[in-house]
Amino acid sequence: MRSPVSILEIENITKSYPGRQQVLRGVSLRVDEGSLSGFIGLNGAGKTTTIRIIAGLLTADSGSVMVFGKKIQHSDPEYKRCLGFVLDEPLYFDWMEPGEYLRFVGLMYGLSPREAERRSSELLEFFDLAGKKGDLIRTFSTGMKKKISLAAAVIHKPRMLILDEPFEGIDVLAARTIKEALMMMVGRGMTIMITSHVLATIEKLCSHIAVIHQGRVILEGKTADVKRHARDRAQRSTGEQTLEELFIDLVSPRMGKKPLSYF
Amino acid sequence: MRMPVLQASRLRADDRALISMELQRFFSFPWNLRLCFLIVPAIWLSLWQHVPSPFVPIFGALFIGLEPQFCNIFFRTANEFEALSVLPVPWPRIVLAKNLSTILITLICLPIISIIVLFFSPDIVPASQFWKAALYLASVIFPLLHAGNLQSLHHPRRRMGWEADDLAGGLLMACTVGVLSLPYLILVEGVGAPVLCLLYAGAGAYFYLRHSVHQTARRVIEARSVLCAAR
Repeated sequence: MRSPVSILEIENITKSYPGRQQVLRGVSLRVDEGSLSGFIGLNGAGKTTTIRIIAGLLTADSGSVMVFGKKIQHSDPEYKRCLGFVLDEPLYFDWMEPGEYLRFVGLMYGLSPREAERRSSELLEFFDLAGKKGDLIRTFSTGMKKKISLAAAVIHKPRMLILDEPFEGIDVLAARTIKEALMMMVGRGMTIMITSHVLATIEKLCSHIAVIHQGRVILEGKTADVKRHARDRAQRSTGEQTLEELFIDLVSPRMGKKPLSYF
Repeated sequence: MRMPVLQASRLRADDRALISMELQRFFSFPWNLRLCFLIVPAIWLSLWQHVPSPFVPIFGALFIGLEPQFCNIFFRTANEFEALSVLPVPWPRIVLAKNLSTILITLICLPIISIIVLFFSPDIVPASQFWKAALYLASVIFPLLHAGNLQSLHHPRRRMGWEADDLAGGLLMACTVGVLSLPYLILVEGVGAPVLCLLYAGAGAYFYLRHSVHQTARRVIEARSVLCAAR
């Protein structure tokens, strides 16, 4: 059997911010082609920093990031042609109309004006935004902004999509549209890496999971294997726990809390 | 070897999109109203007998009004730097497209402000003043773009509007323009050698294209963490 091809390989990256302790303390991670990988951790664990390093917004203090087997050089942004990003802060020019913005992004990725126009119309339709064509993005709800960010990230048909908290602050309908889009894309061979606090969604969507805690990846593998390892580590032998329960056991073993005196 | 940058002979679709995006944004943001407000003192100053030429307040209003266009090129909107960072476009192209759009905006705004200010002028402005104004613009624009690019890297402002930082930016711009006007004053008003001024302007353009764009792009990559942390 052929071993899966690795699309993204992160080797031992470290990162410190001035005046703060080390945020990443040797993160290593691998994302296989065609997988939908979840990258989970508590707030401040280092998920967003890792993604911003891949996106070229930050430089790692040490270690390397390989995309499609090639070490990324931030002076050469060509590697971004094969990637799409939906970062935690939406990356749109909110004074534009959605179609205008998608066309602009399409042109930046080297699409012809006609193709950029065709794909932007199709994406607006797909994400139920066709009726909002004439509105400025700044008037959109959070869910619509997330959808437009995702549409912009896939207009050039990237081989890999990286999403940071795509389900944060959005309603169930928008979340469902995004989930359906992700499932459709991964079904067509795209590789997806996603961070989220919504562990039930990650558990349901992702074939692979990596758990980052205090700047280190502490568990990584197929979802079922990660759950089994987490169960072993938490010394739970019986019962079927959700990923969320196992994750909590893993990163924050329960300790008796002193009750509030005034309750 | 230097990375290829945008050239008029092969303006690509993405370059055109970047430039038109910059132009479109300029005309859709309220902070550009400062240019309108600055026209009032420019008219008043142009009527003052001690001001040697009405073009002095015209250029003053123009450059101070366009300060964000020159000196905050990475954050004309709050998330712009991040938005541009994830695109596969090399920074030299982005910097050059932004600067080119600034030149275009300057060339669009200059005649408009001039017509308004000169309309109130009691005297007929001689043709030599227009020639001198063109010489002045040619001598100052490229050094100003270079200074603005450096300012954009060292003191980025994520949000722009009518705050203290914007006022400070305007004052700094006035000082910068003052200093960068010295070569023109020496060569044209002092020595009376407009040809030397043209040569100076050409040298400024050459330096800008050969060094400033690449230097700015290189520093963007080095200073990403600082730019991302800008408030």
